[in-house]
Amino acid sequence: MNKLLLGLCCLFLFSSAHAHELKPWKGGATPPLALKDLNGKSHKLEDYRGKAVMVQFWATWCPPCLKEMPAMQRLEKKMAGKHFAILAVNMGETEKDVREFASKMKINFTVLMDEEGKGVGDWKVFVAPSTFLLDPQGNVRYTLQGGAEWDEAEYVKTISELLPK
Amino acid sequence: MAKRGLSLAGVWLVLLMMWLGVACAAPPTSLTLATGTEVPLRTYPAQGDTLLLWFVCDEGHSANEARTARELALNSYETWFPEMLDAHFLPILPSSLEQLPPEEIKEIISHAVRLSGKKIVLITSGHGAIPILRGAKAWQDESSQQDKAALAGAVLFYPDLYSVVPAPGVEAQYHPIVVQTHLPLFIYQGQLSPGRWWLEHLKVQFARGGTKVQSKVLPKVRSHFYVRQDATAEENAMAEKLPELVQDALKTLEPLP
Repeated sequence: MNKLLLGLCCLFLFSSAHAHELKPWKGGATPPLALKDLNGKSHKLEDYRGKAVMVQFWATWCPPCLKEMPAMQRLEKKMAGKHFAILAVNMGETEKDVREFASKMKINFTVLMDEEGKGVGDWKVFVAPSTFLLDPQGNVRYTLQGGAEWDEAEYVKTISELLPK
Repeated sequence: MAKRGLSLAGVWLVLLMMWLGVACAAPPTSLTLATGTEVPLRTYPAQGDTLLLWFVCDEGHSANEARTARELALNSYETWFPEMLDAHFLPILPSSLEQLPPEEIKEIISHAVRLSGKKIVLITSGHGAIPILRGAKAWQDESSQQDKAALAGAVLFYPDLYSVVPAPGVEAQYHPIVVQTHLPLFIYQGQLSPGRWWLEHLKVQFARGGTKVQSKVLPKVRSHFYVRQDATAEENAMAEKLPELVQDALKTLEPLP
């Protein structure tokens, strides 16, 4: 039992340590992103030039993804009226599953469908969720692996600094 | 003539008893390694010619792994669970598997080959993949060409073979053991896992070392599906099929050239 508790503590500490760390992007040129949303509308990253963009890769089967969704909703509200957009890229699930989930969670931001995993491959996503923050010129500036409380001051400040001057 | 016949019968009797001694010897309950580590061993004996060395993350308490071993024993597959986390007082976590000393894995393989006389197949999951493959390679490096055939392969469930946790957007770095491995492998990967998208990429890396990997993506399950506390109905159903999955994998393991 003691070992189990120790293990759980380690897991908690490990998760906490990794939950809040925005890291500078080291992946070179911004990968391409051209996917359809749940209504079949095509979205290209180029369409979002002039805005700070959060590209988040997620799935309904991933508990940290689900945990951070409400925080993303709150972040979007905080950033309302500013040049900021969230593109939540679903990793390979069916439209039905994602639509049901989006409806249940009352998601307002754009959900893109990556059914063939092209985005996952191009953006080299190895962990769900993985998030990328882009500046208005379309350059990736930061990444974050794992879930986060995106409406916390630290993140809002970083994202605000990315907004067009 | 009668005397000669009796001697011949005696020789046959001795040989038969020796054979029975090997075939029916009870498996050990623990292994003492050169490092001084005493590894408790939970065994599920069977009469077949294959011994599965299964490195688990939970001291063998997982009902699914134990049930699988019992069912496999009915189909003549013997299973040994070396309780390595217990032996090293490691936390009962899947990530603890990465701390298993490859030298000890090598020694356990040696013991298993010597004590059982059977062909050995390694099984592990997640973070266990790197130390197990390193242990296998160390054992192969010290074995003669003829003896190497005793290690028939490995079955890896959702293996984690990255040398460091890959950063988003950056090419993943696999542990050097991936290209050094020369062993028949079967990989099971959950469909509900980012690893699913990188499975073919991983197989290409293994191919560089001459290892042909067979694989299957398991629908509607996440990694760790058979040990999860929060398992879904689909994951529980897949866990029920664990004996089948292991046997299917074993059938595909063929010796490499």
